[in-house]
Amino acid sequence: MIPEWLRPAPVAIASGGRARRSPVRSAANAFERLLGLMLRPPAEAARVGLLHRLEPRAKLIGIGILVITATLVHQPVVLGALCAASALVAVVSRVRPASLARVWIGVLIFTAAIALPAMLNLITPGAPMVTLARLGEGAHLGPWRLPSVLTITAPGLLVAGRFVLRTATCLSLMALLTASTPPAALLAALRGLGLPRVFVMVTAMMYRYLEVLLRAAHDLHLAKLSRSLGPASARGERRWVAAGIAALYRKTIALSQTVYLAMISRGYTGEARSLAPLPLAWRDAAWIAACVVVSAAAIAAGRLWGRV
Amino acid sequence: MSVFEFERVTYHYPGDLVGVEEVSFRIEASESIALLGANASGKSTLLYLMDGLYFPQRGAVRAFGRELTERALEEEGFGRAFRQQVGLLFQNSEAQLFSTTVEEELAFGPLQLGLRADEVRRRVDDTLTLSGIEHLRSRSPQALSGGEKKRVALASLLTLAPSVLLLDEPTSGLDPRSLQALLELLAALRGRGLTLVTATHDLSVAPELAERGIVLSEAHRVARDAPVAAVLQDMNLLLEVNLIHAHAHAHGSITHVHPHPHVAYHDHEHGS
Repeated sequence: MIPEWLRPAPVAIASGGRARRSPVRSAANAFERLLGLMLRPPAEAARVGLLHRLEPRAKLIGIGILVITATLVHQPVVLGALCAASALVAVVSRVRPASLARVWIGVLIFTAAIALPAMLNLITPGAPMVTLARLGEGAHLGPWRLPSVLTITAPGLLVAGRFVLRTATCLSLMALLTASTPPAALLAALRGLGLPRVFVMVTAMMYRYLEVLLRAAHDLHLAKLSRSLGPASARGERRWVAAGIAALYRKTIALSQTVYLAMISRGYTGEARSLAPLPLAWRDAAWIAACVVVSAAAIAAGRLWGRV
Repeated sequence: MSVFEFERVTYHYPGDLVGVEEVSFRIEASESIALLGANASGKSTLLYLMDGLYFPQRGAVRAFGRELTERALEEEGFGRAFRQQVGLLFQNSEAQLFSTTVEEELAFGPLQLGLRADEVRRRVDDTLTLSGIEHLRSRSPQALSGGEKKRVALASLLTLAPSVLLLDEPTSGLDPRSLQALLELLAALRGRGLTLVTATHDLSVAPELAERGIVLSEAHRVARDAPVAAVLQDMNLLLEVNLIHAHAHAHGSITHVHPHPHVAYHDHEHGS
């Protein structure tokens, strides 16, 4: 028998009052954005350009060579040239300029914060280029003694410039790799290059099930939101978060057990086997050779300019 | 020689939760069986026992004349042959699709069995075509719809060329077109002589999936083992095991009570 209280009351929708975004809504939105990113068809990876036509192993080898070169070369001019070369490959490969621009903006923001102090005579002494402040004799910052004049030095500028350029070059190259290769192909390439199968398999499964857990967390937040009538107390929110973590943990354990049973059912006995990759084509070999030539030229130019 | 032989099998989950209790039956080669029962009646447990994933605490499960024990499955000869012969479609396709692409998923089983790479590739290509999922070859399983996941999961078993398929609620959550495609594929496999054991509580598809029905009661025991047609006519049994329910409803001025299965639409005659 349906209880008396379970009778639809006259609908009275109030309006007005203070609008406040729920943290649960913000979290649900964040999960949704992340899921969208994970499930979005890899538009960049599906484009047809120079890099897209290459076998992922060849891309990994070539870009790996260039990244190592960027860490060995010290001359800013050579690093700048490598960075420009990565931009050129992006253009030829029809990778969206926005993809690289995002990387460079990130590099500027984060590396500048780290490199800025290195430009000052406080960290890197040398010939002053720009005077920033006159602090006077005997200036202190806590226990540290400060110079009387705070300047940007030429060696400091060189150190910071090298750092920013090297980071930008390495990250641009990695951005090219990820923009032109789906994650599954990248993992297969790592396996093809001799990384232990178990390592690649565990990484692939982590990536595979991240989406499942994200979806579970997203649904958990939406379910909470749909039954929330107003802001909860901090204690109540903490209890809910703890219960949510426990629920997700239980789901994870149950899922991992079923996945293991599914693997056993199909003949898994502890040793992972996978399809051998197809042989590299002539264009893959040409790409690797080109990367080796660029790397050798960069190192030689670095020696010519000064030290490597 | 029977494909499976259950002899007074009892399996309890940790915490003494009953899975199945004193279950006995035999399944012969090329039979198609529907395991019918309400939720939590022990259908999935029976499939896991048949697939050598769980082992009974009492009684014995025999497969192809050999008792299914952990030790027997650890023997390379028997373990390999058994895993090749028997494929289990899990209820949760999400758990079954653990590879990064559909192609790798289909190749997983044959590779574990040590087949040659060219044979694995041939099987993967043929099965992709047979299942109508060639266009999904390079896709990640996470980006597939529910129906596509089910088809890929079934295809991942077919590459093993099994003689027995154990299907756990294969039709749940499928749209009408996916359901029809799955039923047609399973009918074709039955025609090829595969042994099919399907766990379901959907009585509307049972006659299409099987000729024989094994009904599990809510006490986790076999309540009846008979041809599906006979099982579906036994209204008292179906009511008792919670596969159909009786309810009262009105048609104009007539209000009456009658049993019917758990489906959204049903026909019945009106008395006066």
